[in-house]
Amino acid sequence: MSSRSRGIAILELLTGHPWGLSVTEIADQLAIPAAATVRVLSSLVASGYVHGSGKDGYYRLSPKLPALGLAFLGASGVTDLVQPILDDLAKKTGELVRIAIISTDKLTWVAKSQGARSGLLYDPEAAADVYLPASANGQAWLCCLPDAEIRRLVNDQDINRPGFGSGAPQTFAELMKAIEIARQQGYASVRDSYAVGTSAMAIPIMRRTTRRPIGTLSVAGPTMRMTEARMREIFPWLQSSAKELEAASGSSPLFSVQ
Amino acid sequence: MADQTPMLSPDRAISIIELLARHSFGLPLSEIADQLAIPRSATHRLLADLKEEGYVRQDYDGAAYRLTAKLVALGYSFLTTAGVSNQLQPIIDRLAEQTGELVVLAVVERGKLLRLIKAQGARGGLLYNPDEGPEVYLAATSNGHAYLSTLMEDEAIQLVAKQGFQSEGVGKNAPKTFRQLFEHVDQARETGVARIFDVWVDGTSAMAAPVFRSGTKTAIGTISVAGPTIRMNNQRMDQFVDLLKAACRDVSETGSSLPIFEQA
Repeated sequence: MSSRSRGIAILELLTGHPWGLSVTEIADQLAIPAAATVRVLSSLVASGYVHGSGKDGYYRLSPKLPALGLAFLGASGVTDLVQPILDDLAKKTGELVRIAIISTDKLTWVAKSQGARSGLLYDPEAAADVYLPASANGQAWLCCLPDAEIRRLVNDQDINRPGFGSGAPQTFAELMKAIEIARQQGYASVRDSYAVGTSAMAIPIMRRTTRRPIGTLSVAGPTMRMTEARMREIFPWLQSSAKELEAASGSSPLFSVQ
Repeated sequence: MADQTPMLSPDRAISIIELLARHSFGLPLSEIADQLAIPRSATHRLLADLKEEGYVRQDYDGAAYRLTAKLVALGYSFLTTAGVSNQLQPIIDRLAEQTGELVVLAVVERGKLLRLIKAQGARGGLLYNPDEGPEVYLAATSNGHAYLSTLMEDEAIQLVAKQGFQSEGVGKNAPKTFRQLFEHVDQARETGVARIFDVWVDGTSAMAAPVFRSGTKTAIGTISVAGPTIRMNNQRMDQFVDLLKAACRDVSETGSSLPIFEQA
C-alpha cells in the first residue's frame, strides 16, 4: 500500500472543486480524520497552495499549483515532456508510436518512439508530411473536420496516390466510409494502407480551450500483430497518452496558437 | 504524520514536487535528499510513492528522478473546472495571435504575482520562450512594474524588498536601486502600460498592463506581451497598446469573479 501523501490527496481533490470544500467534505471524501484534515489544510494554507477558510468555511485551491505546472512546462520544453509520454506508450504497446502536428493544411511527423525491441518492426523513414488519405494519422485529423473541408484537403493531396498499400482508399467514397467507421469506434485505423504489411491506429490531440485538433497520435506495427482486437486493447492507452499530450501542449512553441 | 517540519511546504512529497519542478532534467536521489534535508531512506520511500502515483518518473534504475506531465495536467484540470480555460485562455490566445508574440497572464496572490497562462503567438524563426519560475520577479519584469504601478509606494517598496534586488540573471537595463525602479514604475502609472527593454533578459523586450477587479482600482493580475527586442521596439508597442488594454478589460469583465483571483 502506498503511504499516499495527504497533502497531495487534498490538492487533487480541490482541483475538481474550484469553489472550495468544507473540512467535513474533505475529511469524508478522503477518509481522513477531521483533526488530521485540519492540520494538513492549515499547512497547505501556510505554504500558499490553499486559500484559508473564509466566512463560508470553505477551502479552495490558490493559483500556486497551476502556476508551478506552467513553470515546469516552460522549463522542460516540448521534446523533454513529449518524448517520455511517447516512450511510455511505446513501451506499453511494444509498437511504433508517432506524433504529428497540424500546421495550416499539413500534418507533419515530429517525434516517435519505437517500442518493438527486435524482430519484425515497422519504422518508416520520416517523410516529413503525412499523406492524409492512407494514414491513420491523416484520417484521425480528417475525422474532426466537416465534409467540405475534408474534400478540400484531400483534393489538394489527390486520392489513390501510387506507392501505397492495397488497403488505401481508392476513391473519395471509400475514404469517407473509413472516416465514418473511425468516428464510430473513436479511433482511425488502417490496414496494409500506408505500407504493405503494416497497420496503424490514431486519434486526434485537441487543443484544450478550443477543442480543435492540433495534432495526432498513432501506434503502428506489423499487421500480424496489430489486429482489431489488439487495437481495441490499445485504444484506452492511446486516449490517456493523448490527454497527457494535450496538457503538455499548453505553452509549447511547437503547438503555437493556430 | 505530524512530525514533518513544514519548511518549504506542508509535506515532503509536495516539497519534492516543488524541487523537481525547478529541475526539468531531473535530480538524483542523493541530491533531492540533501537539498530537502530528508534522510535518504525516507526520500527513497517518498519517491517510490510519487512514482506509483504517476508524478515522478525514472527512465532506468539509478537514473535521475524527474516530473511527469501529471502536475501540469492537474493544474490544467483545475483551470478548466475553474472556468479559466473557457473564459480567459481565449482572450490570451487572441492577444498572442494579434501580436505574434509571447503573452502571459499573471495573477496577484498575497502580494506575489504568479504566471498562470501563457500563449505563444510567434510561429517560428526568432521567438522568445523563457524558462521561468512560477513567481514573477517584480523589480525587472513588465508584469512586475505594471503591478507595482497600481500600489501605494510604501506597499510597492515592501514587496520589492521582500524579493530583494537581483544582480545576476537579469538584463543589462535592470533597475539596481529603488530610485531607478520607480522611474519605470512612475512611467507605467502615467501611461497605464509598463515597457521594458533588455531589462529582464538581454535581447528581449516586453510591455504589460494591470488587470483590475471589475469596477475597482485593485489589481488582480497583469498581462504582458514579450518578444525579441529586434521586433519589440517602441513603435510596435504603440500598435499593441490598445489591444493589450482591451485584453485587460476583457479579463477584468469576464474573469473577476473566477476563483483563481483573490476575492474582495
